[in-house]
Amino acid sequence: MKVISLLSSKFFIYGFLFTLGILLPFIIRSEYSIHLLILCCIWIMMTTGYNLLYGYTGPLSFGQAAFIAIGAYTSTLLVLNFSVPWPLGMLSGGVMAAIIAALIGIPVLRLTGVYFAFVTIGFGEVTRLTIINWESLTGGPYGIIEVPPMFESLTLTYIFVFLVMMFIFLVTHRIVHSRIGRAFVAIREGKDMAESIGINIVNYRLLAYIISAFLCGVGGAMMVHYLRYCYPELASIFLSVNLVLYTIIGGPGTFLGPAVAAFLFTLFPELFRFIGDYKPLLFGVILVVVIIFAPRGLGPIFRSLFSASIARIKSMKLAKAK
Amino acid sequence: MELLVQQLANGLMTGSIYVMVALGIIITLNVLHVANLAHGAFVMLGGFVTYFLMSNHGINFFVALIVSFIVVGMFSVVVEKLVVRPCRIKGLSILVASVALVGVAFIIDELASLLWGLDPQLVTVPFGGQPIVIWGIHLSVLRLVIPFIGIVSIILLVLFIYKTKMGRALRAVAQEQEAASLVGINIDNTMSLGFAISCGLAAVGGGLLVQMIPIYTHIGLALIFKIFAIVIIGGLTSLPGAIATGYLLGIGEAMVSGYIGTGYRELFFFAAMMLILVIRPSGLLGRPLLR
Repeated sequence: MKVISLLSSKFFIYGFLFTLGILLPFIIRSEYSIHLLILCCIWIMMTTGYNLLYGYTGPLSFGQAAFIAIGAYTSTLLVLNFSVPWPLGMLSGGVMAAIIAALIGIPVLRLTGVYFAFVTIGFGEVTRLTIINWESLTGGPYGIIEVPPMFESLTLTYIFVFLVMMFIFLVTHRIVHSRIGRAFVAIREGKDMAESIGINIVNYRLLAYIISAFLCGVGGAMMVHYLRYCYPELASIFLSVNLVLYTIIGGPGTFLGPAVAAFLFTLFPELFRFIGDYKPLLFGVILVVVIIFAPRGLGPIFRSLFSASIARIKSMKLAKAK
Repeated sequence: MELLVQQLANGLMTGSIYVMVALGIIITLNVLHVANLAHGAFVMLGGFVTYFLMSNHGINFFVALIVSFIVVGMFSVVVEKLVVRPCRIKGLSILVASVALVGVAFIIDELASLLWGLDPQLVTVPFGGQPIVIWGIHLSVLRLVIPFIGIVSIILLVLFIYKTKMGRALRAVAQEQEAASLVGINIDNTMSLGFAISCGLAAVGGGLLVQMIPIYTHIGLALIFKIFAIVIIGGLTSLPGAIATGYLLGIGEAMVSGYIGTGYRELFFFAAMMLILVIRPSGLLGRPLLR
């Protein structure tokens, strides 16, 4: 009995998943699969941040890709021009993104949702065009090639990215279950009610915006150090919409849903290569269909299925014990 | 002096198009309570319809514009019934419904790219090459025709909204849905009408745009940002605000690209938008309008 209860304890399950995650490159051994897993980890990280913003506190940003690009270029330029070690470069990419998010967020987050959505679209576009036009610094439309890599070995890169993702997962989990997180949940459940009990919505939204910008910046920096290519299209609205899509399909405001959606959506279009050119079309169709038929996302649906099956297993165990 | 006047004419041209598109955004925002993020896709569609009618079938410019107004308007009713209305019936928030429209924009853009390819298209000057000379300043006929058409359509739209029965219905629905349905206005049909008018107008804007610059199937997403900047600066609910801002920013943009450099155009829009949001968040003429 003790073995079973240990096996089904949360601690064991998470530990198992964690070990599996680390050992995955040694099990799969296919370079292409590891490449996909690295991209998955980066997108999961950024989506988790975005979920804090949109899923919990509500402002819809269409410009997160701007932070991806800002983080990417900051880190690349620091590492290339000032030979800063790349972990520090990544961190400063994230910090830079966070600072700019604060500058944009302070005036704009006071306003209601549509304003914010419009401004962030503009912010993403302006960032992209600034990068294209500021050729002396950013290399213009062709971008910067030969960005220094994180590690020479793919496996090592994967393990690093995975560990960072896990760390960020833990931190955001702590945030969600802390005092701040309770405020986030209160805002998610009812804005007016939260305000009436003294939660300053604007400040919490700003905080979530800064956190998500930081994570996008770090993720963008990771992406360019991994792909070794830094280009203006990192700030394009398509990347921003990816984040919106993953969050909305996974279920905004659920902790795991958006991460799972990010994982699946990064993996599947690559596995089924024939989708190729139709990817944005497919994303558009999925987005419209999910919003109309399951506006709370697929996360809650899976969660109820999951808890139902857990309950069933438990009842089976009980029956056996008797 | 010549540069100044020419840039002024350019500003009036793009300004007219901006205003036509921005007015559509304001109508959808106030009547249907949704931010139409697919509006740029309708501009693109209008541009391509006009392009094909004129270049491939040699149809007259004005006829082509009217046809694209009707075709795109009818198509937009389909979008309204399939996407916007279900969102409204389920009571989704304005933001979620707007994200659904991003999906629509992706679908339209991608289908258009599959059908027509990725090459930019431009109608080769419909009005002879001979410029008109006024006080020693050369102006092409196009630079006079486009603002004229723009201003005429804006006046027609304003007359429609304020002087006709259907326009009154639109205003009533924008103001108070329940009261409007109590006095016998069919809310669903009025909303479809509002959406069709705004998208049709966007299509005419696209038809004018394709005379000036080459358009490509993904132009919508690039264009929509400028339009939103105009809508925010003018005040989200204000028709006169959008008209004034559209022309102001159109001319400002032409001046910036004429005297500073074309790379700074978007920055100019963004800076103007942020400035207004800091100084006067309700916009230049932001007050409840359409009333």
